[in-house]
Amino acid sequence: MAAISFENVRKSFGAVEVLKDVSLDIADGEFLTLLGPSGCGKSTLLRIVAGLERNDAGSITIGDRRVDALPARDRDIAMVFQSYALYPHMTVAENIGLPLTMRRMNAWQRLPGLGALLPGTRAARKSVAKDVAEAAEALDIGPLLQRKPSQLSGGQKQRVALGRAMVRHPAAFLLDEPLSNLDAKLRVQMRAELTELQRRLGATMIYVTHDQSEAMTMSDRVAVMLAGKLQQVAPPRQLYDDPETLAVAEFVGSPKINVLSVAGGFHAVRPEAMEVVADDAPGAIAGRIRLVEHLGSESLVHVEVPDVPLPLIARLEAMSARDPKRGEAVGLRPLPGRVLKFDATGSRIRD
Amino acid sequence: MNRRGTLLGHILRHAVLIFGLVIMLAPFVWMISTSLKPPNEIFSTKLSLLPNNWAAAENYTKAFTKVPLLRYLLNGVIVTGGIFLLQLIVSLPCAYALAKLRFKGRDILFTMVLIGLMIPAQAPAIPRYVMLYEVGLLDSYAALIVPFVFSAFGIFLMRQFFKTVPDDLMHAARLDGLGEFEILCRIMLPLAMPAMLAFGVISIVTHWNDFFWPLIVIQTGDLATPPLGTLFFRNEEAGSDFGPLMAGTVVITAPLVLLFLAAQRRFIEGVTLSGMKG
Repeated sequence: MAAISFENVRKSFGAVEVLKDVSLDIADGEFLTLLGPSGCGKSTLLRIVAGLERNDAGSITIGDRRVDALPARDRDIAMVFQSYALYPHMTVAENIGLPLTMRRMNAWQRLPGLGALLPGTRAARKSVAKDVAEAAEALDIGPLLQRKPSQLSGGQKQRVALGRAMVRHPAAFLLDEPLSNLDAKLRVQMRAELTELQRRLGATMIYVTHDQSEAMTMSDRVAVMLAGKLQQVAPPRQLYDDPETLAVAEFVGSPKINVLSVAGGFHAVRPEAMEVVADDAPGAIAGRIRLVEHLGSESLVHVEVPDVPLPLIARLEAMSARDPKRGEAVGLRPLPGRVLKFDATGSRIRD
Repeated sequence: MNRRGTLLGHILRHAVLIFGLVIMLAPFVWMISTSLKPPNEIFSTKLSLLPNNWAAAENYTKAFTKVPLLRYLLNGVIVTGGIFLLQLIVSLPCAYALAKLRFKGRDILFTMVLIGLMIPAQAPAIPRYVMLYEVGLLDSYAALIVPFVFSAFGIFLMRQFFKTVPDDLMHAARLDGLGEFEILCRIMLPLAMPAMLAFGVISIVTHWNDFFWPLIVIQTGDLATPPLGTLFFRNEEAGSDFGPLMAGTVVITAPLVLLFLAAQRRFIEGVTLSGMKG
């Protein structure tokens, strides 16, 4: 396991600047998530760590080695792809075993047929098989070892891809939207399993996703990336409660934070920090209820306010005494101390 | 569409297909039929598919004894096999590079391959002949094989197939420690089997049947490929003995038909470039 750090990393594809001066330190054993909308450069950054793309400027260090000039296979990094990228013509055991075969057997020993006759081949094959069996055991896919990828479900393929990554105990794991091809229920389950696996292995993981619930639930820290720039790197809780910029405040949190234009900047209030009160209550913003969404444990009240382009949203506990109706005239009032203030450029103003 | 319309459509469609089939198969049927008949029946005015007196044994014996038909078949196997093997060795790495690697001039190279695809085999025949003459390779196996080793079609077909293999698969392989050559051998080749088979059928059929080029470069009878062999056959027999001649052509056509039947399903998979489903 190893720490990873980026220093002033830049990357352009033609005239498009995809990464604009990214610097970031990831601790040994940390679970760091790169969160951002598609096209923000997060996958490119991951590919640069892996060695699948070259950075134009800056440096990348894994452990105490500077790796910018090393090819992918010498970086001791494993990656799990969104498409799983399992070799379709190999069995599960061969898929998981390939990275070990490549490292423990020389080119002659790997030759089909002839290789078996060379000294050491049998012992090497045995050691690979043993480690593959161990990894399969840890991921609960022992009985699938002889199947081909086409005979597996999405969740099973995901586990095989993880097995292939962890079997050689790499310095770090890179995961590129690994859960986005799974159905919603399985995604929640795999989320927990992945975190658990990461804790058990004590592995450094960089996890790329556009799904903020994955970022919030799994990570030690989240790095929010927008348009090729790191906006803020912080633990999930802090990211939500204490965003540095308006862009982060708006990107993190669902439903979206309420933003009001004020003189010299913006005020932003989380939906759960909005109180639904009478429309003539002091300090309240008066409006009319356009929609009430009942989600079981809570309700979302959408309130249309004159001169504000989007409806403001308040989150109400289901147990709340109020039962707002569509069309009702109400007031919204931010809870004291829960207003986040930003200047005209979107930077946070702290009192 | 109602049922009757569908039925009518079916009948029409099949009628058209059967018509085409008859037109295409008729010469072959006639070839086989002739190869079974004695000379007097071949030229009889009465049309019949099966002979009254079977002459199959004589015709086929003659075909194998008058000219070294087995030798021609062996030549055919050596030449087509040699061409296909060398074509694979050249076109697989080329196709992989053109499909999956990023380097300067790649698009220009690929355009040149496409242009190569448009050039008919006869166009460069004279310069090739002169070149083979200069290096003293005329009238040899090399003269039959070497000019076809660089196959624009092979490069094009395999490149199109490699394009359908997801990039992530190569990325995963690189991280797993494979070099480019090993990615080609361990990952791409096994996946490309159907396309290679399609290419194989096309290449082997083309060169097995090629008459033009062997006719130009081969003088020695022992080096003749099967189609050229039939020509020697005609010279030998002054062109009148059609029974054994047709027997000979049946024998040289049969391997191709068998090859295609054996590879049919995978051949169709290959030319339709069925992509990867992990």
